[in-house]
Amino acid sequence: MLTLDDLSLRFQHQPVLETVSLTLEEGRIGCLIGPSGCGKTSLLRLIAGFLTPSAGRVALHGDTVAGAGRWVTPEARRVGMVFQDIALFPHLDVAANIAFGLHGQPAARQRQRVEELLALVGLPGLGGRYPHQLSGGQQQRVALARALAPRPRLLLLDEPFSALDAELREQISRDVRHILRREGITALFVTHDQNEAFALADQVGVMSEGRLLQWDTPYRVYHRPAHRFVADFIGGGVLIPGRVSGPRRVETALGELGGDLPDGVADGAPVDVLLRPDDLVIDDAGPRRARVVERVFRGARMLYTLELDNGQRLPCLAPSHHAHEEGTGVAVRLDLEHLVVFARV
Amino acid sequence: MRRFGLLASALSAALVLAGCGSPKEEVNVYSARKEALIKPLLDRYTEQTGVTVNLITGSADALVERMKAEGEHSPADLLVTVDAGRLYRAQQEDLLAPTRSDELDRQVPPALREPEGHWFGLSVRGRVIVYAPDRVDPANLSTYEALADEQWADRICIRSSDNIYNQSLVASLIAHDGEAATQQWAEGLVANMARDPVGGDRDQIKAVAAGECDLAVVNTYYLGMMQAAEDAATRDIGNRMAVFWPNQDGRGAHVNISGAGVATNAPNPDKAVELLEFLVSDESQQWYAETNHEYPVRPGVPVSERLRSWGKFKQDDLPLVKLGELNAEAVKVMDRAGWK
Amino acid sequence: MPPGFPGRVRVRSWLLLSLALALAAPVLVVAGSWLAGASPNWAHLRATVLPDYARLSLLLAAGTGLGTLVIGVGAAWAVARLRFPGHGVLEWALLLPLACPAYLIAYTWTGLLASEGALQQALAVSLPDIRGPAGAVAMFTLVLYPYVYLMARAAFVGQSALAQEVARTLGAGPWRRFFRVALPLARPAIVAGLALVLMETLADYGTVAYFGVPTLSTGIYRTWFGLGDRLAAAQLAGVLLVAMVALLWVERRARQQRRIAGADGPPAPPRVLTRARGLPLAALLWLPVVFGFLLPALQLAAWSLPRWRGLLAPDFLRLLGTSLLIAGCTAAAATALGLLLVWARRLHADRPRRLAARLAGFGYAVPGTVLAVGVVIVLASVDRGLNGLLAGLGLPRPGLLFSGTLFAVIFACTVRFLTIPVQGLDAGLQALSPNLDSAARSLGRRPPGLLRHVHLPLLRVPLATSALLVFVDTLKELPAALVLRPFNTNTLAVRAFELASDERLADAALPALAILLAGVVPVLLLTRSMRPAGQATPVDARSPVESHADPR
Repeated sequence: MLTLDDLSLRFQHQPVLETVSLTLEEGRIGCLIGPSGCGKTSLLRLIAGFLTPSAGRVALHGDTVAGAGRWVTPEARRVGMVFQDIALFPHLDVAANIAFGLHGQPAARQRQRVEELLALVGLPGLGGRYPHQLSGGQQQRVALARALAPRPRLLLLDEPFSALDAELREQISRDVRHILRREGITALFVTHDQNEAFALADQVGVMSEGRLLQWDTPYRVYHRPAHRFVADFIGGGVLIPGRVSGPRRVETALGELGGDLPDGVADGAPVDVLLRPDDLVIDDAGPRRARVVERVFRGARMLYTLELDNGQRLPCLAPSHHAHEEGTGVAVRLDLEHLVVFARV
Repeated sequence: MRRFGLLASALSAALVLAGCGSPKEEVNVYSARKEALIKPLLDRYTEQTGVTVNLITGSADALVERMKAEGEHSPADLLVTVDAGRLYRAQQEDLLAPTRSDELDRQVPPALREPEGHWFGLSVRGRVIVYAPDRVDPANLSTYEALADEQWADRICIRSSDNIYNQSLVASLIAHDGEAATQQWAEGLVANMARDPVGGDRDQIKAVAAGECDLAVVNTYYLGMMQAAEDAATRDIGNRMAVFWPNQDGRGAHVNISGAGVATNAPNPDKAVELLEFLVSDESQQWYAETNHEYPVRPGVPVSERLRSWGKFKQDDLPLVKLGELNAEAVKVMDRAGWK
Repeated sequence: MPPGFPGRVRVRSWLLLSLALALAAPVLVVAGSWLAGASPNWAHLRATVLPDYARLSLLLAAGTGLGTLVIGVGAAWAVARLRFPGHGVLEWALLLPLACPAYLIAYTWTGLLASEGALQQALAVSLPDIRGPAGAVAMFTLVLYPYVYLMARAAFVGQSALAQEVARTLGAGPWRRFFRVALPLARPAIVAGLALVLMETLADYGTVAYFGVPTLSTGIYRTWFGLGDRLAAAQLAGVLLVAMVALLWVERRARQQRRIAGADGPPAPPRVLTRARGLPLAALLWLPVVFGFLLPALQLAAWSLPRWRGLLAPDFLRLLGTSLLIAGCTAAAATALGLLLVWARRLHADRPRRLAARLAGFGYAVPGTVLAVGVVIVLASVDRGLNGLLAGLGLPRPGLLFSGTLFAVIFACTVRFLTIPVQGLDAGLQALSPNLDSAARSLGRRPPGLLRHVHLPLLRVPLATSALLVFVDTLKELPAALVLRPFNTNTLAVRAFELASDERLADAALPALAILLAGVVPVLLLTRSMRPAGQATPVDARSPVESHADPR
């Protein structure tokens, strides 16, 4: 449905995006995450047509809308967008906001569609209100309804929930996912909140410095990071140093670990091994000793920071009924399903 | 394209307003004489001849620039100014055409017209000393030059050097006394000023009345207007003043003119000459004297009671062309003297 | 580059730049004379008068700046934040002096204070002569403070209570809160008003000429017409232009800061003063209105009373009609052009469009007569070219189609006042989230639809304000009409000035009074447009209510 081919964008000779490629299937929800300034918003604006690519191609349903000598204006792309600052038209009431993209249609059909969407986003009867009379969450629902009204081929959402507070954010994002699913809408989100991304998306893309480092299922992005940055950025893990000690084997401070190694690492080569907080289990029978440096109560779980004898610090997520005091010693063991190793550069 | 629509309608409105004149006998006047001081005369001309007179008033400098920019398409037939310097400048810019007319030559004395007929004086304006008789003994007054004497320290009011009449006066002094002497004189005069120059000629007269200074250098008609003012307070001020004509034992008092010349690109040059002739006719000459207290160019035209009350005087016969030639020099002299 | 989109955009960008260049041409013609090298008189000017010009221009600018700041900001704060007896009337009355041209108030006050004038006769005391630098500062302050008041008031009204409350929790008293919180937050708006004030002050000719204060502006005239040195005069104008460009730059900077600053939150409720404290304050606030408008208007009325029949004379009605026609056309043209330029830059901020919007502000920077002569030069050469072309084609010559008609006057006034809508609409557009545009485009609206359905309704207030300000300023504008008007055409300002400069104040009073009265109508409309925005016109998409009304 959405295809990006080697899309690049330069602004005043500074590269903003470099050779970004991805495909998003019909009815799927994609999500781009990355630190601020990584180019994710620029990518959305390129797809919407508010920016012109320096090179590469954007295609919707196989039609090129930018690149390869073609250019389709934003208003002709049928791509809906929901904005971080919501951007409702303050001079129009809710119904007129939603009907904004329906111009040219008979008034009766516009009214019907507005009613439909108000019901869909759970705001029936609020069509006569003005945006400033609504709460933040209600405004965001109206923005969604407005973007959906003309039945866009693709919906883009630029950090749509960042203006909302935490509880509201979770609820709205669940609702939005529900609506998108039910309507079978193809959507691409941008966020910097990975939990939101995992909760919403079928496909997640991790971006850094203008490059799309990985475009994959949430599961694979978490467990099979294709890039050192992805491993570092997602999931709060750490990379601990190790050394290749044989085929499919790595020696680390936590002992020798087995699993797939990246291509081309020689025996004895220095590598980094990804360790997630849930990879480490506090177990009195465990083979390694560690000291509790810090603990943070997370309700059901407790996030410990442990320190090995060699000074290596590791995160460890444990059930919270294990209450180990800061400064005390614990025994730990590894519970690795699969090994993620990066050659040291 | 709403914006172009607006401009277009503005333009067409402008054209409608501008294009009212149908093809008939007309003459176009660019005048530095204010509307109130020329329009009645022009109306009378129209009444007498049936020729329509179109008028634009404005500062002479701007009118000259406008004629220059309009070039051969300029609609101006006649340029009227209130000093000789500007006529000279227009002549220098080739904006005025030489004109021959026996009537004009007969009415306007040679000193008050350009030798080749580029321009002609319409009325004469004397620059005189107006003083408070209770504080100044006229026996102590003599010449413009003597105003730099120490006895007048802090007693003189005169307007800014921006003013063309002061520039012309200084130009005439340069012509007679030379630049170095005039420079010295200007410095002496500045030292004698009772206050920084402010306001127009009337304001100088009022300052004399208020006791801020004892004498002022002004054009005669300003005093005339005050003496003929509607409100009693102003009339009273005017009537308390006395007029002194300087340099009567020598070259005579400095005079300037209001004058006019026919435009080089005049579309109606014949009508322009006829209008000029009307403007120097005895009837018109009397009108200047009555409405604006100016002197006729031709001696012998009867003048108003008020003008007679200021006495007869001898006028400087320096060719007025000189005033134009030396104008820039005069401005520099005043700049250097610190004449504000 | 993909074809279509950028190509068309680029062509339009260059068209817009050409338009802006055409509008700036009269200024550029004058300022461009620097290219010809320094005039031989330059050394003379520098040695004699230039230091005085610079000193007095700076003095006037500093004094007027300070005066308008004190009155404008003080009045704006009091009206925005306090309630006192007569508040509702004072709110708009404070704008009235806007209708009064500086040269007219200068003549009127001189007449009022003169020894034979009404005040001195009535009070039987000797009053000071206001003609001089200090008096000029007073006159400018009295008629120009409304610019600061207008801008500052809007800023104070919109300020959230939050910042005030935060300051209170930090133990700041009312004065400290004003100087440390309210004032800095309103600073960009105040600076914008101040920039207009300073430009008006520096470009004024009528007042300073009458008061005998040699400034750069009078220096330009004197050099051009007295020394007969157009080059040196143009170069002086260039100096003035540089000062103005610097001012515009400061103003821009101020506006950029505004986007960063500005706390969200509901506006603070005004404080209601007791009568004992409110009455003295109201009396104090009436002073600028009395001195800047009521007394001069009364004096003018007294002078024109014996001549009131003149009001009905067909000649006078024609004068009024011409003035209104010029002002109306200029307000429409300047607002439309200003909107076009800043709106095009918002659509696509490439270099030509940015330059175009900036060039449009130049006209305000030069004294009116200099600009008018620039217009004559430009339009007359267009006319000459046109006549030459048509004659060459064997067609009848149209004559002076542009320079010889009212078009020239309207063009000159448009060029002169274009900066008002440009600045006002730019500020208005910048207050709108760019995502509003993106939303509209992604919902299928092309740029004209975006303008019509989003920007125009949201810019209603700045559009009305700009148009009205241009209207009032054009009504007062003298030199353009004086230099450029066609045959047998006069405006109120020209008539008033001709008579006043001939020291016939009493005769000048009637047209002067008409200018004042004709100016009061748009000023009153202006006050309506600055009423607190109703439901239909909030500026920000994110309303202040959201943080309070969330159902948690």
